[in-house]
Amino acid sequence: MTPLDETGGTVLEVRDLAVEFPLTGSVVRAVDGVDLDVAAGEIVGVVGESGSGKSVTMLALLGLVHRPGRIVGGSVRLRGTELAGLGPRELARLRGRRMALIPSDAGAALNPVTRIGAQVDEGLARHLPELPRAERQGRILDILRRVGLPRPDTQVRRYPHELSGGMQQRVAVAMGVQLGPDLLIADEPTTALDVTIQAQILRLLLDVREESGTAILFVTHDMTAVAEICDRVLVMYAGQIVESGSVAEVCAAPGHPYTKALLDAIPPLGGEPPEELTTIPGAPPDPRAWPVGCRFAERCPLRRRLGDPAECTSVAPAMATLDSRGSAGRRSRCHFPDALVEAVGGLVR
Amino acid sequence: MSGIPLLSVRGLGKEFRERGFGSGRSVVRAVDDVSFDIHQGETLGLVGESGSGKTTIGRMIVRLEEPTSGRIELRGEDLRDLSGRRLMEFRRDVQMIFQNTQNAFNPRRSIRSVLSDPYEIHRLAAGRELEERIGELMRRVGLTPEMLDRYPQQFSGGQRQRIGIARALALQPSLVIADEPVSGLDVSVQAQVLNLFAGLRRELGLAMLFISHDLRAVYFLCERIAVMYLGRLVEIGPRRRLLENPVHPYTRALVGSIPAFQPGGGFTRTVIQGEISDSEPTATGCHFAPRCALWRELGRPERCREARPPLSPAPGGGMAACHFADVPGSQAAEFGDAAPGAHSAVGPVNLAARLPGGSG
Ligand SMILES: Nc1ncnc2c1ncn2[C@@H]1O[C@H](COP(=O)(O)OP(=O)(O)OP(=O)(O)O)[C@@H](O)[C@H]1O
Ligand SMILES: Nc1ncnc2c1ncn2[C@@H]1O[C@H](COP(=O)(O)OP(=O)(O)O)[C@@H](O)[C@H]1O
Ligand code: SF4
Ligand code: SF4
Ligand SMILES: [Mg+2]
Ligand SMILES: [Mg+2]
Repeated sequence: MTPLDETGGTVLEVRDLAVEFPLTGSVVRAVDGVDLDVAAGEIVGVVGESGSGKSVTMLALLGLVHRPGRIVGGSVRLRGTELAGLGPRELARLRGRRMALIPSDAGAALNPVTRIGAQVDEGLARHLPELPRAERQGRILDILRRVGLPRPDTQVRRYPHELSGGMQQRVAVAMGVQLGPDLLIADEPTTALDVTIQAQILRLLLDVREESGTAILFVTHDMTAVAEICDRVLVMYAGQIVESGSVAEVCAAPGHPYTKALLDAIPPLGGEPPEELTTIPGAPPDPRAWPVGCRFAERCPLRRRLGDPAECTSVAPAMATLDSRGSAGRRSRCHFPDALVEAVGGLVR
Repeated sequence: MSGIPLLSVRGLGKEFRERGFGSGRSVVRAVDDVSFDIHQGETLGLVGESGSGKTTIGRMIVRLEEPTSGRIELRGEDLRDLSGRRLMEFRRDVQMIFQNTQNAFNPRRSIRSVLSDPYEIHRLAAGRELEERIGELMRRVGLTPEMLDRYPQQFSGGQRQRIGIARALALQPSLVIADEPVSGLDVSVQAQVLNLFAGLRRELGLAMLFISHDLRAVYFLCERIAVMYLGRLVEIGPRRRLLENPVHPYTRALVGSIPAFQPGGGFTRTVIQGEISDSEPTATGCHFAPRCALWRELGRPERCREARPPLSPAPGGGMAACHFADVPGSQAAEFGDAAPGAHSAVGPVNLAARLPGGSG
């Protein structure tokens, strides 16, 4: 298990989480046995291919998986409180105050017919009804200023469609952090933002952590952003976590071929660009019928290089500790993690 | 390049009326006198801060928005003159991939019906041939034909983005306006899509206006890069020159804020200071002056406040709109150097200091 920060302790502890979506005639197991821990003040990156289950995992933590989807197993503990048995109203009370979501697509998440100021006020009014209206107004302007929204006093009277995508996203970040939650779940919060505002928002997440000790789960497809702000990283593939460890160690010597492929696909900057970028051929397996062996087997370059060992397609690899590498908590879901080492090196970008 | 450009944009402007109270309605100049060309088979990257007008330019090119001023020509023909059959052809020839795919699809229509539309509207294929072509389209964007009978909400964000790309490519356009087409994608799929675009350009001569905040993606795909600031084009030039020797102070700051890939190295890039994009633009003078480090260094010359800097040829190729573009070396933006403060063109902002009880 991951060593936890003694001072702040564990904020989130997830064990064997599974989420299913029934379809006509089949079932999609979008999340299949996810374990994760987040300590107070820790920023944990979650990366992985589109459809790998990152967002569904996050929605499950928040109690927001919509029917017919449902959590079919596992345990989610927030500061020791088991969330699995809680009803929708109890979960709603926790959301915003104890844990908050910053969605990837604020444009879709904001209510199109409500002014920005009123939307930010909704959370404050619900969770802090005792606060006088005038004071709430002040806090709204303050939080909007903190996330770098220009001229907040004008913006509060505008509707979402009158803001550019970046401004909408900053409003969503403001709504997520305003009540100082224990756990902040940021699902691709900077995906649609230009690099300068992305920098501001990542900086803001670091500051929120610094000041309030907020634990942050940071979902992204951007390894460069993970490298900048995260302490640890979890790599997801086909509904499971396939690698975990400190960011520096995972990037320097990935313990899973999928992680290595993700790192290789980052477009280089400067010089003459290559004619083609490195990609991962093929597509992830069908979530309605996961393969028996390793879920990455069909696309795995390491397996091909090793001459197609039988284990890869017959035995599902378990999450195992990578003793030989780095600190505790370095784990990967591959039968041959050591064979990767020789292939790495030269990860300089 | 010579000959008539595929797309020619001249003096393009767009104003939006702001909803206002009391003091009357103000006007937002979202796009302000922008000119550029795109040649057959060329990909032009369009970058710039949020709200700088990139999407609005794209929307005007595909006629979703009426320009307030200026003109747009496709193969030398003014878009305003198109009607009837020519307009129909234009609608085939120029396609847009939207920034936000969440709302871009009708949730009650299967992907098969979404992708069949363009073929049916333009009467290009039916029956078996249609089936084959949309199957091929799905494979092209890294999806499978078996997914055709699913509905948009059954796909992840990244998968939906690829469906948007498939829809835009269906009619084999000669120009695609791609607004953040890879920003919702994880890096491996992004690499596939970028390779796909590069291949379409090589094989079919597809031209593209590629709007993105991801400078790595832009650098890979686009021979030339155009930089917008507050509705104006401030610099345009060949990619290497622009990244390695940016001329305009804003471009220098932008390049300085690109994250270096240094795992464990912490947060080192410059955070550009100031109230962004929506600061009151001045009718005269340079929009960037309030945040311009060079302007301050030079002792706040009046010229920057009084005269709008025109786009003029920049050393090493391309154009830049700065009165002092030729002032040498005062803020070297050594590209690739991620040391804190190395790109302090606009100075690091200390957001922490602005938080209550900030730890500085
Ligand atoms: N409502 C639903 N009905 C059926 N399948 C679904 C539904 N929502 C998600 N899925 C499936 O669950 C899997 C995981 O989806 P999820 O949105 O979590 O992916 P993701 O990793 O967040 O992808 P992205 O990075 O593109 O957002 C995918 O196979 C997706 O098709
Ligand atoms: N329908 C609209 N009404 C009012 N202002 C708008 C509208 N659409 C865009 N704007 C404004 O125009 C500017 C440019 O927006 P946009 O083209 O979306 O920028 P980008 O795509 O670069 O983020 C912004 O200041 C934005 O607020
Ligand atoms: S178990 Fe085999 S197929 Fe799976 S990642 Fe490791 S080498 Fe590749
Ligand atoms: S014209 Fe003046 S204010 Fe504008 S970018 Fe150049 S130096 Fe800065
Ligand atoms: Mg997602
Ligand atoms: Mg935009």
